[in-house]
Amino acid sequence: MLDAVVTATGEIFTFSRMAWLFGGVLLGSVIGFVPGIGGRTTLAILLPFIVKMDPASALVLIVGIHAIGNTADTIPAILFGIPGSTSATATVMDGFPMAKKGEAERAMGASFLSSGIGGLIGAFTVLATIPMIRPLILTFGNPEFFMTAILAIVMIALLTGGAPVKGLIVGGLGLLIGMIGDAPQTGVQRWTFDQLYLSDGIPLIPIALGIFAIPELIDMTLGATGTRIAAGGPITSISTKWQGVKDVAAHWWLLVRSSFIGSWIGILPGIGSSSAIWLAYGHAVQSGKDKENFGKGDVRGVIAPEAANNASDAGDWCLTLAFGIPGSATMSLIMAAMLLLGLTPGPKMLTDHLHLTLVIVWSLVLANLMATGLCFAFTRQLAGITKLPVHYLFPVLIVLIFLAAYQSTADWGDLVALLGFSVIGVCMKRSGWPRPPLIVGMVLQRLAETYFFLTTKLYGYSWLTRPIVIILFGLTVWTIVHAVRRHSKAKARA
Amino acid sequence: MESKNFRNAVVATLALAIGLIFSLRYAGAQSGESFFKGQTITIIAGSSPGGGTDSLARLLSRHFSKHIPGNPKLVVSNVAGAAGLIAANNLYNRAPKDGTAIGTMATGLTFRTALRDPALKFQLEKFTYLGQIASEGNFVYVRSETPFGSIEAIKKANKEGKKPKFGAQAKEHNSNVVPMAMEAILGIDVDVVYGYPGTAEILLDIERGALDGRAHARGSLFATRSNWLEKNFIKVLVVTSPQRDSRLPNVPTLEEIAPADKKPLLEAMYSVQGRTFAMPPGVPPDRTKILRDAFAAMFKDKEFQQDVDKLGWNDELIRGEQLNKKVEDLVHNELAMGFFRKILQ
Amino acid sequence: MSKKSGNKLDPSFWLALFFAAVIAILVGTAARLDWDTRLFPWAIGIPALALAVRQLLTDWRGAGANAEQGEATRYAGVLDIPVDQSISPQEMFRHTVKTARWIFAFAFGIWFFGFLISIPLFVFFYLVYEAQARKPVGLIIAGLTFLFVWGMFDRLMHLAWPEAALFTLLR
Repeated sequence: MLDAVVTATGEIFTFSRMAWLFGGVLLGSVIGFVPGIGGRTTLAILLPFIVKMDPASALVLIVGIHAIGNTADTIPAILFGIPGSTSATATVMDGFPMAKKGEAERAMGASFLSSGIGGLIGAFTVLATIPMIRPLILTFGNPEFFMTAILAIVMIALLTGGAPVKGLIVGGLGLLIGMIGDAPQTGVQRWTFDQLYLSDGIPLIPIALGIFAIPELIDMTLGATGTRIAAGGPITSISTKWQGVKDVAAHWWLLVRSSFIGSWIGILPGIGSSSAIWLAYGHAVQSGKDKENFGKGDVRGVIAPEAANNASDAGDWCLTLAFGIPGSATMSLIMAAMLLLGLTPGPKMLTDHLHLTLVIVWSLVLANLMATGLCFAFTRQLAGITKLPVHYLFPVLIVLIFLAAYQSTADWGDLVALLGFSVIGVCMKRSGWPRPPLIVGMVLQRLAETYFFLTTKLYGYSWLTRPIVIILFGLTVWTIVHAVRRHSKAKARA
Repeated sequence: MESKNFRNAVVATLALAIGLIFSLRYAGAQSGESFFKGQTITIIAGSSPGGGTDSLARLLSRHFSKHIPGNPKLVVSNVAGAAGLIAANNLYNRAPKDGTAIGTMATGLTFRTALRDPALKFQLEKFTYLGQIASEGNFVYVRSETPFGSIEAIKKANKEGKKPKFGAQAKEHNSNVVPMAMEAILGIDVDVVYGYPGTAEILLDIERGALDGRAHARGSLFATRSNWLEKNFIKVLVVTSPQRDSRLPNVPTLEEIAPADKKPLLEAMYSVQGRTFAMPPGVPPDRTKILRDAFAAMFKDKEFQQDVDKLGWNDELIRGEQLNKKVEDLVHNELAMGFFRKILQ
Repeated sequence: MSKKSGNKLDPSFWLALFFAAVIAILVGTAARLDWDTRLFPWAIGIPALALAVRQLLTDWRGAGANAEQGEATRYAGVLDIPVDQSISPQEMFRHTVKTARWIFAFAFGIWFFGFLISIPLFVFFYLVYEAQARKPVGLIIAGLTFLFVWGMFDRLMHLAWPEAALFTLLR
């Protein structure tokens, strides 16, 4: 192991490798800034060139492009309320209200720093767990994954402490929508009503953009012509990015806990960053002292999800490298690139190619630092966008949203889904229904159902007696009971 | 004065129009050789970037151009959806028929043809096939500690009511088709648990003991779990390519142990393992020939072969003309079509 | 059924009705699927339907009922981006409809003319008519947007543009 470390260190700290890393970060930041497009697109475009490079340089470039995606997708989330990718959705909750108060710079400062540190903690956590990973994944079988998915859905649906019924309904609806298409077990088409577009299910991006982005854009333009996003307040000294840094320092323990949540969730196949961000956010809400400000611009609502997001990335890499299980579409592409470079994800990456795995770990660490530094340097300029007239930004953002939705499957259906869900999103927002559980339900559905069936097919009923399953089940029940009790206490108090 | 100007204008317009018509006709009738210079050929991949047929499309885009006279530019366009069906529909009906559109043919299309799926807006045998560059022979193996260590052992276990549990991805995936083919051809009974998100999850469940074995693409097995072979953790029962694999010379091919009357089913299975490309019907014959020849030339390219090896496939060229005939035969092969229908039921 | 404050149903009611209807349809149509395929839909859908009906009844009793129990508005405790409550619902509705008109007009434009034509048109017209920008400014921004879209999505990503209705007609 030690000589692999030495080799890896030698391979990465050369001028050309660092140049590739920085180049990747730079490129990823430019393209990743556009909502809906992201590291995956950049990688797809560059794939023909990447495969001609030597494996170490190629990996370094790939990590660079990928690493900044999780940091840069926060930028449109904070500035416009449009998540750059689904992993930035939780950051919108408090990041966007902060921008409206004129604190966009502070939000971004906190977000970038949290991303950076979260990514580091994630990388080191995963590194430390590598010896344990194989036994861990082997003990954690299909039944355990299923229960974890259920627990995640329940926890997130019940984040809406004050309206648990609505949260559960929306979560259930998300699960049901995720079931449209072919059933993973039987291959039978469900609820596709003979529409070819629906046979793969409705893609996530048009729905997420429709439900979140478009209602926010509509509300953004509520003021008179000439309003700015940051109409809510003057720029004061507490709104600078350095205040964001101070916030992170003040809430360092939340940052660490969120990073751990992210790393552990990221290691579980399939569960990934989409759930990690909400779990971290929910944890911040539940553990926070004054909760009223959440959703109105509380910086803790930015720190927690961003740390978890980048931390879960490390777990994602670990799964992909050590087991060949890509946790996201981008990881699938990265795996494909690795195959073309002659590297097969799997146990060999921890034995024959260990030094390349360590090159990736190093790159993750350094890319995180570079990405944080780069974004941090331009925070003031980016925040300046909130001073532009809203009505000038609106049409351009609408165009980008439509394009981002369309490029999911390049089908008219994407636009229909976008429009349909934007109507639903507007209605939900106006009538007080929480939107996040819908997305989480959709994301986790396939996983939950797949693992459910594999579990019952392979284990019969004996899976219910497995110790970890029992623990997870207990946790789920406790979460529901706790939420209901909190809700009735709130009602009784009033 | 004005009428003269007007006449001039009319003559000039007529001359321009005639010139345009002639140049257009000339462009249309451009000889195949000079046609491809400066052109862009779009390769339609039936999956999203990083997905199954995407690697195939990109492989072609990297190596094909230098063998085509004129060296046209090759770009990959992803049209995901319905496991390659939407891409195939597009290719057949909407893509230009002048030789600038190529598509990857997903194996699921054969199944849908067998099912006479109304969503199909094409006839499989009417595509202009470019060729097949590789096939994915599969090893079928079980964990050594199971009582299923040979075909006879499985038959014996079947009589006692026991079936080996195999893991598979989607129903149309090789991991399911191959065991089903074995059932039909060898008369054994297997329990295939499909719905696994990916190949890695199946391997993990084999390691956990939840599964007994699987059908696994040859290259992929060596790339991911060669240590299983070294430690004798698994026993390979059969290989589904036409020849034995030189790395495991003692493993018989399915063809060797199949009873004679079941051999037509082998054709069905081979068709599902192929990696093929096609163009829409109606591409001018001279351009078709140029591209098919270029395809065969690419096959001899060392760099191309290295890339194919990296992806874990075996290079196996089938020229476009032969492929067209094969597909035509397959579509009319009732035994094979019936088999496909049974798999998807 | 008490509707003490105000005669109008809580708007949340209509959405609850919509969700309940959708879930009911999904659960109902799943009945003709085989057991394996409809297991998960029913395991999720039936409890969700029950909850939706419960919510329907709660909302039928009106926002007034909630106000009596001290939840200041229907937004209390809902974890989502808050609605700007300084603006009257009527004004919000008017504005939403106005903006929606633009968005749907853009969508129609894409369907009829295709992305590359309707994008600059939409940006230009919105800027001039809604944002009250000067025409040259509108032209420049529309032009830059078009260039960015064309450069990134057409030239670089080779996005497969759909066939616009106009061109199908012309064919």
